[in-house]
Amino acid sequence: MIHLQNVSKVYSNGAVGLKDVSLSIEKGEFVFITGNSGSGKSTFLKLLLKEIEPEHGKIIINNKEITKLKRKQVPYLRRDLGIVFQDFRLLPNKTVYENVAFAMQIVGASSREIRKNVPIVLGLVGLARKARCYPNELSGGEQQRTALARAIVNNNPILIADEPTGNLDPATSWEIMNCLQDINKRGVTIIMATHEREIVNALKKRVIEISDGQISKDVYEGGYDDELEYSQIFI
Amino acid sequence: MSWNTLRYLFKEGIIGLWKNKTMALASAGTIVLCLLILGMSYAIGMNIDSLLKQVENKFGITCYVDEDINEGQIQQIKKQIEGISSVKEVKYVSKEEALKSFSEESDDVSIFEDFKEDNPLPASFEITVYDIEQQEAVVAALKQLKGIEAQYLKQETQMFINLNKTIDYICIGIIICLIIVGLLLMSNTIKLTVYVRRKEINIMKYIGATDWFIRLPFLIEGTTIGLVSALIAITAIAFSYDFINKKIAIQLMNSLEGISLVSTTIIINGMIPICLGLGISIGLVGSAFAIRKHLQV
Repeated sequence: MIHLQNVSKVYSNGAVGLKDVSLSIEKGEFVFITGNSGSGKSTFLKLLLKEIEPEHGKIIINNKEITKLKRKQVPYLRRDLGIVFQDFRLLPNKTVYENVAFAMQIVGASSREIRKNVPIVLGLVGLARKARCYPNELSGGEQQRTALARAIVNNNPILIADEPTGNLDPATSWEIMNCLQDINKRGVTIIMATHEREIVNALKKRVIEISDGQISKDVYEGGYDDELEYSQIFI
Repeated sequence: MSWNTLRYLFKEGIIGLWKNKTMALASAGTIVLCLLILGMSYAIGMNIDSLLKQVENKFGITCYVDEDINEGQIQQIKKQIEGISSVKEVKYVSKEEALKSFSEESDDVSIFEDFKEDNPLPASFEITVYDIEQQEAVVAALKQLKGIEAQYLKQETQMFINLNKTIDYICIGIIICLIIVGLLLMSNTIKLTVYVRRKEINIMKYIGATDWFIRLPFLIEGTTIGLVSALIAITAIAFSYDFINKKIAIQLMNSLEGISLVSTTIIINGMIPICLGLGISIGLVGSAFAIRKHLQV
């Protein structure tokens, strides 16, 4: 599903984003990307979204080499990728329903499809009753669930979540994680960058840790980088 | 892009206007003000031009007819003069008429009676030309004709032509400056409206909206703002010009005989294409430019 081959990214100010990273993520996987701030996590996600270009290497998503895509084709790549951000990024002057419907408008869905699918997805994330609310009338968790609904409404095969629980309290965070797991069960590949130790440890999914632009750990059914390893590095 | 999508984007543009009322009003206000100032300078320019034209018509060429020319020859000469290109009107003034008007002008009716028998004034042709700049060429042609002697105010005419040209250039200069200022002001205002909504644009890019999908509602918004502003400006200019025209016209009638302002209809007919064209293009081009930077995500 997602393949990186010897991907490197150096920013113009000399900062190293990623150093010669190769990895594969298969269809239906649930992957945590962990690492400290500045480790290269964001660079990794930005590369997948083709927000930035790698200096070297190939990135293949859905059998398409995205490094070769022209600027005009980028929107079509992003339609395969549902995206959820730490700060939700909902359109402030649209209701929950309109925010989700908007993602379908973009792909040119008919109004009949929109009227059919949006309520289903809103039901899935448990927001059927809040359809007419504006984002500023919702709690953080509800906003993030709206963002989730928007990210999956087009049946995107991949969902990228950039610290989706970063702004939420622990209980709400778990709500979101349950949603994500449900979505994953429906066959959507999920890549989630996070700092939340407890969540990573509890879910026992694949964990890829990035530090200094390189993959320092890639474990299936792993936990957040255990204290042991840190102490070995730093002491 | 499907019909469905186009309809949606059109609706989005109109809804966007309503949801961003303050910014839309700010943009519209700026355009209206710019167009008003432009309209004002246009009206002033047109009037100066028309006033000069009216004065211009008073600059005629006088051709004195030699004493020994008879009636038949006069008709012939008149035909010849009318044949000269760019001659607008030829008026024959007989000896008697000349004396009559002279005595009237000098407020002494007795002059006419005294000199009726032995009239010292010559008969003449009063010739007006279409364009004052052609006057010299017409005079040259008149000099070829026998039996008449052309006279005109050479220096004054030249001065008038120069004055006319200078005023034209100043008017064009002012209008160009105003258009540039208007464009700059507008593009700034629209940039601000787009800047306020840059997050929105950014989100759309992330969800996979194409550039045109993002751009179109903004362009529709910009065009609508431009169109509405132009209509407001045109109406405002029409009413205020009509009002001023009526006030000044009365005073002009009293002081300067025969000189009038350009009619409201002409000014408005001239303003409609200028206002609509500028308003819409400022709105459209302004939004297109302002949004360009934010699409590069």
